[in-house]
Amino acid sequence: MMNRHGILLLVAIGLVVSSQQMYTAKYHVEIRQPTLAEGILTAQRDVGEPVADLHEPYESDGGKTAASDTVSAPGGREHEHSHEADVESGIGFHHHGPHDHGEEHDHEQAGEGGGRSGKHDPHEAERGPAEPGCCSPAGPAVSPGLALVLRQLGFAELAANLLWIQMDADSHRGLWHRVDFALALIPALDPSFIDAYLLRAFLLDEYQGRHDEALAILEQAVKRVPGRIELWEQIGLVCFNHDGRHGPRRRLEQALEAFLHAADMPGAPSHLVRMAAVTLAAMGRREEAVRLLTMVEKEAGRPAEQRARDREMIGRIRSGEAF
Amino acid sequence: MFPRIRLIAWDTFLDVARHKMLTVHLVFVGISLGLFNLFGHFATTPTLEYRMIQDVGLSIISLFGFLISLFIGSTTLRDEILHKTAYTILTLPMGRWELYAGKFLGTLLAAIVNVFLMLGLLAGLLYLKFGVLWTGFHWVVLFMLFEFAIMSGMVLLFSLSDSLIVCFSLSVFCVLLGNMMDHVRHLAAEAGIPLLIWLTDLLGWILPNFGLLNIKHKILTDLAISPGLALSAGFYVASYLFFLLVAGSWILGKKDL
Repeated sequence: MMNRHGILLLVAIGLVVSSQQMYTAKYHVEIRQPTLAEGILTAQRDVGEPVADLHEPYESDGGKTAASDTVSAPGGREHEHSHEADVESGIGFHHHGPHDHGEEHDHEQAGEGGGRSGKHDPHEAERGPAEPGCCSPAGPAVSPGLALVLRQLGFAELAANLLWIQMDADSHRGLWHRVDFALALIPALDPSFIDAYLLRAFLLDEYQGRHDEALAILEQAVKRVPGRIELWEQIGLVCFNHDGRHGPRRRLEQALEAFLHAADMPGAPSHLVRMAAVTLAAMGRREEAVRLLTMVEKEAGRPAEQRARDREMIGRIRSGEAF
Repeated sequence: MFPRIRLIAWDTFLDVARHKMLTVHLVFVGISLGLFNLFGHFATTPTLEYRMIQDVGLSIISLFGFLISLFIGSTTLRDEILHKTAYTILTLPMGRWELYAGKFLGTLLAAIVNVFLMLGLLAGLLYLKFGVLWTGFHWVVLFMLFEFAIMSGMVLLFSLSDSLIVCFSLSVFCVLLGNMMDHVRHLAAEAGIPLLIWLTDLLGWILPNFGLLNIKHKILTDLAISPGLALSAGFYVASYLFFLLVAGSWILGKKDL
């Protein structure tokens, strides 16, 4: 005959199974993330790329660097996620690009057939020149394999951060194929790592001329992380396409929608409304633009400095300036 | 009955708090969290710096939390049995299950306090550096508590085995498998071997599914989860703790002391 403990144990097992079933059902509805492989496949399917070869980065870096031949680097700029300050200097556009530590990345290398550029690399003195086929001794060495293991152990966020650091080191060495790979992998590990989307979109847009793909990445990012102002703002900037910097097309309707959406979000920077107004002006809807700015300028709580900029922008829109 | 259990639980908690190893662990956690401020060096924006420190901090806490749970769970009852101090307690008019329940609750309390200490340290560092805390912080605290409560209870159960190595191995194995359970089940399903599928399903129901309790990515993305989900997770964790308590009491009752 079963004793009291045995019965309790059976009850406990029953409780565990039923509660786990309940929780799993709720979890799958509310939380479930795509598995890593699904994430990579979805990410690449969405931007129309071939499936990444997980082994590629392990092969000879020196030889593989040529894979990024198509990158057209105009002059070793630091990667800036948002680079539209020149739309209008008075707009007060928030510029959240360069690394805080003020180092430059070797963007030139990719444009020179994969060989190392003659540009001074601030890290080279410390670590020596990059060796083909292996990682620089002084640089971090996070393999995607380690990232996968960490992910499986429940440390997906740590893996994404470590890959970001590795990506930083790779970009300093001009290992662009590895940078591309890391930037595709980071969001698959941690879909909320928006800097990876922003940087990847920037590299595609600025250095490879793949403007539509860059926009597709940003659009995919806002689907996954809809609550981040930076993403909407960047979509607006790419679609606004001041001076044809982001390809031949201007998508003003989409830009307007993105700016207005970003401006409506809590904590949105004040300049976003001006960006929306500038977009309206670019669409030929100058009266609407003026009305919008007049309305926000009168809002209680708008800082005096911003009001002055709003008034300045109203003047420029009325003057018929082309945006 | 309850005063006896409470007394043993409190004594267990004080015992853990007095242990030097725990202090050493917490110092390591402090150093690690402090060092990971350096992650900000790689950030392109203050927002990224914040999230890098936060992500790495939470991962450090997860790792050390597991180590601390392993240390607490494997020593509290096992040491008492090895040093034969458990016999003194068992001469009193109380059941073995009461001793186990007391140890179980004391261990849980110690694990919870440790998680609070570590998360408090991280939150303090973040607040000092940035002046803000992320919105979903309380959810992170809650789910980490869930994870470590199960881990501690599980290690306490395994500590009833004859060897410390067996206890450590089983604990590490269960934590690894618990984190990878969905993937293991998926692999078994892909392999299409009915016996393997049945076995992995069985394991899936019996072992704690830590993968389901790790919701950091969700919290850091959307900053919130629904109270319904938290409640259902709480019910799952409570059921699992009850199962561990009953299983442990049963094994201790059968153990030849």
